[in-house]
Amino acid sequence: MVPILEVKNLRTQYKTESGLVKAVDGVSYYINEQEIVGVVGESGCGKSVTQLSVMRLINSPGEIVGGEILFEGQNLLQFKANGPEMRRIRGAKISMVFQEPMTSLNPVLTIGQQLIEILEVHLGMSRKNARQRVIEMLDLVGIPGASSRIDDYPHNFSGGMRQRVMIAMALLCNPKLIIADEPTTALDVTTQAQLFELMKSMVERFKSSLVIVTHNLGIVARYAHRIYIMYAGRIVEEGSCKEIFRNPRHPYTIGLLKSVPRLDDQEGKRLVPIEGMPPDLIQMPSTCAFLPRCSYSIEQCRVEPWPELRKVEGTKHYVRCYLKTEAWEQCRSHSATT
Amino acid sequence: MKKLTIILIFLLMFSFVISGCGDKSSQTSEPAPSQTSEPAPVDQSPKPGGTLKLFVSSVSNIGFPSTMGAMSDGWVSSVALETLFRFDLQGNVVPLLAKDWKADYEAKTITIMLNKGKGIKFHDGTDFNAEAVKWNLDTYRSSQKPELKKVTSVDVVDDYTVRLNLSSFDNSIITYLTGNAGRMISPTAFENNGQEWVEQNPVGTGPFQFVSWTKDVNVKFKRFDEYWGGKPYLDGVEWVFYKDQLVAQMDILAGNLDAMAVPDPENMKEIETTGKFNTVFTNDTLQPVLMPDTKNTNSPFAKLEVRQALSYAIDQETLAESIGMGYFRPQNQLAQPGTWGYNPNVAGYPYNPEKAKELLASAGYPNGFDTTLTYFAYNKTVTDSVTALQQMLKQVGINAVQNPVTRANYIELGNKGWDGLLRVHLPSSPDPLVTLANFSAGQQYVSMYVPDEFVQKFDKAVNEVTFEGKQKAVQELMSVVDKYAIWSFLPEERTITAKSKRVQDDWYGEMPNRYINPMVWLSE
Amino acid sequence: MLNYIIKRAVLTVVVLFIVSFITFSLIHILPGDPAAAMLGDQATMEEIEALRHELWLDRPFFVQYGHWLSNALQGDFGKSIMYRVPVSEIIAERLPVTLYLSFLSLILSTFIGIGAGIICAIRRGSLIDQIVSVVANAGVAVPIFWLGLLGIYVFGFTLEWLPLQGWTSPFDDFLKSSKQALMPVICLSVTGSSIITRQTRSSLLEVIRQDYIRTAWAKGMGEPRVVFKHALKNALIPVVTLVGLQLRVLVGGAVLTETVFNIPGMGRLLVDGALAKDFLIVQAGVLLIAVMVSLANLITDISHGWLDPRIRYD
Repeated sequence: MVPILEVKNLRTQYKTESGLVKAVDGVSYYINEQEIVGVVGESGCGKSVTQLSVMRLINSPGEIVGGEILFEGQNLLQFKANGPEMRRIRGAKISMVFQEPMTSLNPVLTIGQQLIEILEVHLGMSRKNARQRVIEMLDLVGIPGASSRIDDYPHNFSGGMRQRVMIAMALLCNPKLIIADEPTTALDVTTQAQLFELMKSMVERFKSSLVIVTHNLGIVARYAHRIYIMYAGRIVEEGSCKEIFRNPRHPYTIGLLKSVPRLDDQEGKRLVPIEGMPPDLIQMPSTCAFLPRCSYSIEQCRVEPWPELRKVEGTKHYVRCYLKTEAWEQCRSHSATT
Repeated sequence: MKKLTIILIFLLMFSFVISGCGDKSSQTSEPAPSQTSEPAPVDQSPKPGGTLKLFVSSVSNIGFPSTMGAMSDGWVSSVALETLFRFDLQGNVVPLLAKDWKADYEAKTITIMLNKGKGIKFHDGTDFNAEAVKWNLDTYRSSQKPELKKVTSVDVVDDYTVRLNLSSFDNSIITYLTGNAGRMISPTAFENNGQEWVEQNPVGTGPFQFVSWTKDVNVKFKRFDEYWGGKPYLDGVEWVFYKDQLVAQMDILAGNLDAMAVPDPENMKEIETTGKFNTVFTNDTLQPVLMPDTKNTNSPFAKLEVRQALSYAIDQETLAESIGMGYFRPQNQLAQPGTWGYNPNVAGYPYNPEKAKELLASAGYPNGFDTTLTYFAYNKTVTDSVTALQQMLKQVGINAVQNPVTRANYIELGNKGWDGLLRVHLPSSPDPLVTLANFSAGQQYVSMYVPDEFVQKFDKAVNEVTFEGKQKAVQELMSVVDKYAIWSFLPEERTITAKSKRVQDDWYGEMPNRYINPMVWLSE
Repeated sequence: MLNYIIKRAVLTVVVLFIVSFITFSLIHILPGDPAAAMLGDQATMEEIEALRHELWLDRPFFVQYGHWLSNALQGDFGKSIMYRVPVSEIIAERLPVTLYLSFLSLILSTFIGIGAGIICAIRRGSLIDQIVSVVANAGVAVPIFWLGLLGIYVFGFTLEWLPLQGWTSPFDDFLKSSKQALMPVICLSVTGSSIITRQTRSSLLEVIRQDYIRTAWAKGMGEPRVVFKHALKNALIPVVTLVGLQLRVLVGGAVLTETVFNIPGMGRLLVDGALAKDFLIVQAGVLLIAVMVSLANLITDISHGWLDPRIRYD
């Protein structure tokens, strides 16, 4: 199967006064057609920057300094960021749902004004037809009274409804890929669940692929086919959803899993936070970036550089860690007894 | 004004930068000799056409003499509204609309004969005759204006003769008739349109007739073809309003204006250097004097010696040269040199600080005293000269604190009284009796004591019937002012008018009351 | 909305009362007798007393104010002593002149200001941004009076491109009027366009960083649409306040410009009136300006509602 999007060795940096921030430092991943992929990590790990890089939405002082972004056989990095080629892809073939539904919609334009223009620009539809199509789409994402609400302003909608509008916006041109960047962070749990159900049913319906970027491993468990775990600007683990949850191989992933509540947890079980702070992206050590927070480190971790992403033999599981398989059993059991 | 000058200096520097270094002469401008008007070139004959453009700062009423306020009201209206008499260049009263006059001291009458047979008509076509003169004088008498208060009635003797009956004889009345009191308007125009209209629409007998008055923009007059003195050459006269002296100055330098009064000597120097203008002096000028609060017996100035010391302390020569840049001139009496009232025997108080100190000591102020110097700065020159004056007074021990006031305040102080010294700018007339009339009656400048001898001499002077008698009496009056040192003189601020050399007019700017010669014309 | 306007109107009336009272008090508290000032240096006491009586100046303060107010409410602002015609007549002559110039310069400074602000914001850090920013900073600081004189000197006197001064109604001679109006309008616009440029630039830069602008880019919109449709409307909200404030600045500017360029407008009328203590003119003029400023504020507020749907008037 040919992936719809393939990112190779992507590097994005920010020039700040205190130094060069390597926000994304050699990230490679791929998305297959009609696949739902989760990208998980703490804030600041570079997961959002990776997605914005794909959309070429990195603004100064940020800069994509290397790598390839192959979409439908074209390297998106060869285009100018706001040039016509990128504009034709954005919103039409790849669309995005942002994390802040409160601020991601323009407060001074009606929902209709913000949605109709997409169809006008990308599909050349007449305003009348575009409006009709927008109403249908709003209806589809579950906005009651869509034909009248289309003329309302964002502040007339609740947070959940606004995010439905954003989803409708993303779906309008029937894109190949939808990137949802922490789409439900600011919302309550019930609404979160509704929105993910909605997105899932929509991408199935429109035969799109979906990237869910989140810090909450629990959320993607239910929807994603495959998961990438990011830490300090790099991918530290990749695998199918089942693999990641059953056999996490990186101490960071294990830490994430422990900090997530599960319905099948015993009553009274305490959640375990990951000790320590994420590393300073300006002064990255050559050794494993997770080393200072890792409870299972071995001598090799301290002397040798951070290893590359390696395939775990006999699986489709990739991990960036020196620990051997036997050690994993120990880790996991240790966690169970805590 | 100070600000303006700074700006002007900046602009001038800027202009040098723009014009490069080509014109060195303008930078090293030697003070041009103050020239009086040059006579019109004889080989040129008058050329008809053109509009004379003149500067004016503000007017409020240009058509109804009884309510005219500022002096400029009279100046602007004078091209349309003529007076019965006028001054000549020497300050003598000569007929204009009238032909002659005769005074009778015993009978307390003045008879005025009008020009018969000239067929003088107002701009509205009605006749100018004795009835019209009577109506005008009666209207003026019934107003608040003081000039004709002594006229009890006006008789029409015949069509071209009127007789003024006086409560007491006063020869100044003829002088007053050169001003607003003698300014003739069409009674018919007044009857038909009312006072408010007439104030805005002058209808007289003058060489130019009123066209329009756009407030704060201009007042336009056009030639009156039936003018009794002959058809004027000019197409018209336009008075242009300027709020900002500097802008007016640029306009005159650019040739958009033919004449303007220049209050600041520094600016006049600049205009003079272009060589395109004649500098002319009017003999009605501002005569600044320091009036002491002599009525207050506790005031140091109540003593003659102190007043004399004050006069001795003032270095008029220096003030005239430095502040007035040579345009001002020292004075020791109200009558100006060259006019009939001037008394050559008045010695005055030439600058002598030693003598001033002696006089102060003998008056009981060996260490001097403190006083206040109140003044209204109508332009920048005043501020400069007051500061210089303050230093001069300090030299002899008189510590004068500056007290600048507004115009309204200044007028109020003059009418209600002040402490210390008040700098008064007397608007002089070629007839000193006119200048002196207000305070001889004790109506103005009330804090200043006026000696009995002054009042007696003044009354004698106004009662003289003959010119010679009046001349003698006025000259005596000049020495009375000197003798009592009633006030101290500051240099006379001569009104300087810059007049374009193309203006062929021997009156405007030179004659009191800003008359324009009806036969003025413009050369190329 | 209607309620809001009514509320504002009532408030304005109250403000006008206060303004008229303060103006009236100020003029009467200031030293110097208006009657004496009006009559000139040579006036006698009788003349002054007569005028004082005519102007009600010899009555107690509150009687004078009541007299003025009751007449004013009937539309009679008295007769100017300086001009000897009804005050309303003079204002009717002067107001259009000032309004014409102010309106032109308001439009000019708004267009220049917003245009330059947009260019600077989009090309942030470029040479043109730096040049415009320096010019705008200078423009805020430059004194109008000085600029006017410099303009007259350079373009009128030295280069002779424009008339030195003066005013002609555009209905009488449009070309001449425009030539004469050019420099005053530019002078009046300098401060305004500078302030608006700076505000537009910073406000647009602020807006461009917002999430919804990123959304617009993510939708595949081109730069013109992102800037003009999505960013500008948001960025203009503070700019509109500023444009509203400009009207007040223009009133101050009118005083200076009209003096320098010899234009018979409201600004010069007020200055002349104040200097001549023609309190009837000052009184009516200040009141009129207060009305205009209130009106400008109302228009500003309404424009806010139009630009920003989150604002509701109740």
